[in-house]
Amino acid sequence: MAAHLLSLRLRLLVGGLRQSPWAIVALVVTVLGAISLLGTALVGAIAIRALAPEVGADAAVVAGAVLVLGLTAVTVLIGTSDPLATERFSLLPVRVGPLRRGVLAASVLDAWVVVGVLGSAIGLVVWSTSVAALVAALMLLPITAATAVLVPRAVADLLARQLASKAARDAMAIVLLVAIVGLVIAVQLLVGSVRELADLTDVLGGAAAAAAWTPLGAAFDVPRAIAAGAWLEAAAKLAIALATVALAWWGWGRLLAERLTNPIVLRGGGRVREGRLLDRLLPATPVGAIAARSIRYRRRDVRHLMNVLAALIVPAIVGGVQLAGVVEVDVDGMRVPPDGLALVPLLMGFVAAAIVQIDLAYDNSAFAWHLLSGVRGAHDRAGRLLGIAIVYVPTLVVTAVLSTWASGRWELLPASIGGGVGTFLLLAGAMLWLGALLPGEAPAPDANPLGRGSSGGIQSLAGIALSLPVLGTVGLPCIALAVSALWIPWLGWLSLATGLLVGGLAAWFGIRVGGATLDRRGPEVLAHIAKER
Amino acid sequence: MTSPAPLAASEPLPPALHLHQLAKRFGSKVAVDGISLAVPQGSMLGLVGPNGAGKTTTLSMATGLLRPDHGTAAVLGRDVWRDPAAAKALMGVLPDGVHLFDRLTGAELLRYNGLLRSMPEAEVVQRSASLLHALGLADTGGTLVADYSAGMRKKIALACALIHAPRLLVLDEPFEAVDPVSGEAIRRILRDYVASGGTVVLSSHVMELVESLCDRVAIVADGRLVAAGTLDEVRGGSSLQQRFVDLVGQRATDTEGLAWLRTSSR
Repeated sequence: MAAHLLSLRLRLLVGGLRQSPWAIVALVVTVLGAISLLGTALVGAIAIRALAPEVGADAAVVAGAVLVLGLTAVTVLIGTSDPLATERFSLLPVRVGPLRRGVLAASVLDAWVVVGVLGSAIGLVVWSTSVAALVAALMLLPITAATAVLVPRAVADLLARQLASKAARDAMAIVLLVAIVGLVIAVQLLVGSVRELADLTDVLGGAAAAAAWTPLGAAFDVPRAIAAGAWLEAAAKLAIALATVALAWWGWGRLLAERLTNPIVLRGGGRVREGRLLDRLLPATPVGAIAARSIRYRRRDVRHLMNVLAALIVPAIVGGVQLAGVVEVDVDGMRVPPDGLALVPLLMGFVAAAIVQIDLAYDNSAFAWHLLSGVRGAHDRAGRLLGIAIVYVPTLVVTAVLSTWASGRWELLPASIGGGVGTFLLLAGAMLWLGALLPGEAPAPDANPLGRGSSGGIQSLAGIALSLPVLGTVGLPCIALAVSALWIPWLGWLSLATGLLVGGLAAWFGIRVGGATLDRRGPEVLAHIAKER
Repeated sequence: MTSPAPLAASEPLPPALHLHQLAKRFGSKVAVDGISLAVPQGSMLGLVGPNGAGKTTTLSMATGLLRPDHGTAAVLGRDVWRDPAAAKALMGVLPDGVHLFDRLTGAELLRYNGLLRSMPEAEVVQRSASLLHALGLADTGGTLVADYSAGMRKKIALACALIHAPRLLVLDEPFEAVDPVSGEAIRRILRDYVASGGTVVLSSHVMELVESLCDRVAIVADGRLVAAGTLDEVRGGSSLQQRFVDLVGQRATDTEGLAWLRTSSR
């Protein structure tokens, strides 16, 4: 079974590469990304081993916990390709035991699994200070690697199950947001206690001591405890590590077994109110209808809801950090964070505009109804922009207010709003055009919301590649004025005016040129986005 | 092979749907290999053919969803690919195997499709209500289309195809998964529509249904048109089922190779 699934996974990979040149680009980018990530970690580990071996143990624990947490975040937020989704086996006479082993074996072809295993092996470098620690670390390698592979897998499958069920969806979404914000505040509090460089090792030590007693870091601290001869502590942490792996293995098996008989299928949200308010507020035209549909989908479609949540993370973090009161910190006389915090909305405008590019892909084959009705490309573009702007521009303004508050300089508010909204409109215009050429990919409407392509796939990298030069040229006046406002506040008003003007022109360009592109390429766009089923 | 009826030349009216040498190739596979067909106004044509014959590909090219490699399609004289806006305004389509915007309720979806076609709001509201009523979906208010059954989805998709009162209806498998009562309602709607001068092109696998409903038939196999004309011309005295099997069915009766499947032999 394991060998069979592994070869199936390999054949699916090769088949995908043959089918689309984008798949090859995606593979190359993934491999390069993994190599650079692992390479950086390896260089860091060697540097610590050579220059500061005494912090090696703490660094290994913190890095290990970050690895597990990071892989979990990647699995949940970006999504893993899951060609061996359990649902596909539900009509075959397979038992969950062999299936679980087979899927695990086949996952050696997943980039994040490779990163997890090799990443935990890099820890060996810092343990080479002591023979006992090195031997212990070697013996523990299967456990650390299993933690890094199984915990993300189990958490992602659990979340996918929860998000797919009607009742728990909103609650899960909020829990997810709160968890992320809480984590960021915890990191902020830790960083906040850094007053001098010397404190860094103390903070690292504190973080390591805390993480070492959690399921995330326990396995990574056992070698130190053994080398130090703290046998009781080593045994306790080993027990935590083993229990973590066992729980993840068991829990993942339970989830797989459930999916064999009760597939994860996204349904609607039960009964909804047919809100007439939106229909009254927006004009009864193709543009108004598309905008209203777009807004309803942000709320009712879990795939869009996840994107809105991702965009909300920025203001939630800034607001949360400010409320936690950790921003008024001095590092060697320098205020942390600096006034530049007021320019956080720029970043958020960038994130929100990326949604515009891949918005079409979320329609999947339902886009056929736009083609059948003969709606003009320009109306399609304008309606989508209007819908997305109605959801994201208020969020941008709230972010601007929160981050200006956090920077402590209210006179920066116009620059903050101007920079954020200007960046969003400018990039959204560019993406309206690019999205008609390279719409990217998205999970199918009724598929696992954390399934493949939930970040837009490889074509959204093309979006980023286009965004940067656009920002650096057309966007330069607005951004430069917003930054200059840090020293000459009244320039913020100019930034606001420039941002709205340039952004407005860019949006007009996107609607006209993107619309004409969509009129020309409609059937080809449909064929591209309807592939994911 | 019966040639496409020469009605286009003899009648002053342009055909409701006119396909000329439509062809499409996917990689090395020829899906549709030069189909020409004229569907006169006021008729109901059944498009039949075995699985993979190219029915859906042909209908996709005829309705503007898939760009043909070769050939033209015209609705009442308007070319679908050169003047898409004019052709699509005259045509209502029920595509097969296509998602709906299913996070909307039935009423919201109908409103969406009506407004996409730039219809006046009052007309959209009034027609949606009567369509929902006629298709037995009136009491589903507040339910998302995602939570509909397969048959209900078929019906709401049909309503979307009807809302702008098109002059040509192109329906891909309209009766699939629809219960007998709703099927009868749809049949009545289609008969009334044709009686009042509308034209229907529908694809189906059920020969009895095509025989009882359609007055014209076209049979496709391997991407080619193998027979087309009035029902009587095509079936030529025998049943449509028999004629279909004669024309395209090969080895259809050879089930001897499946002896192992007979449970009594165990």
